[in-house]
Amino acid sequence: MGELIPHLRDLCFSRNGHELPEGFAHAFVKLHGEDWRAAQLHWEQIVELVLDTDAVAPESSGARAIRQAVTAAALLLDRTDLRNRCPLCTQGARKGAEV
Amino acid sequence: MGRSNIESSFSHVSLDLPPAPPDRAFDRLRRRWRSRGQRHGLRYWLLFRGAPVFAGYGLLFVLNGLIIGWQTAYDVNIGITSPAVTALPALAWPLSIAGWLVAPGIAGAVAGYVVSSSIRSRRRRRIDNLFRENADG
Repeated sequence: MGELIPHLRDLCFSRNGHELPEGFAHAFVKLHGEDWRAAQLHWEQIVELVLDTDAVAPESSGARAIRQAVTAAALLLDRTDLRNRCPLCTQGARKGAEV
Repeated sequence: MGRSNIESSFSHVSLDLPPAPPDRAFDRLRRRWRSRGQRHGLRYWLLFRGAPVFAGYGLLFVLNGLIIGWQTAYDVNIGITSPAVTALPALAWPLSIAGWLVAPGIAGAVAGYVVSSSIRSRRRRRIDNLFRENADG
């Protein structure tokens, strides 16, 4: 059936099977006002997008592809310009302002 | 494993978050859908592009079978009978076009991809990896 995008709850543990910047999952949930559901939805959407980028090796699949996408997504969100804002929250706020 | 090792392996970065809500069946289903990109190349295409196309093709055939008759639908599909002489040409024409254009085109493209992929993969393996255990699943 394949691997699933990991839950942020599990990524808060220090031994979660993924290579992530320290404290990433916790900080991401905090960024969403401690709203686990909102953070998880955005996390899943971001990993889904990363799965279709060159961050994931073309020949990899299954657990390996998920691991690469999770690490790449976390590193992307840990970039200086994204560390204090979720790109999907910002996108939603911008669309709301345009309307 | 000592108690301190167990505690450290389950340590949170911080305990100042509220407990996470439980994962419902719908949440797992959503995660499974969003994880579909883990499949690569042909498998992804067959599951998420090809399957819907062929499901539509199958539905078209069934509709034609029910309305213009199964034998007529088959004959139209493989180009023996003209869709213009059937009971409902407006429904038979798409089936005819799908039969001689869409289905062979897609089947040919898939076969071509498989063959060319196999040809391309010849002599791509690094000799250093021969007889070495694959550590990365």
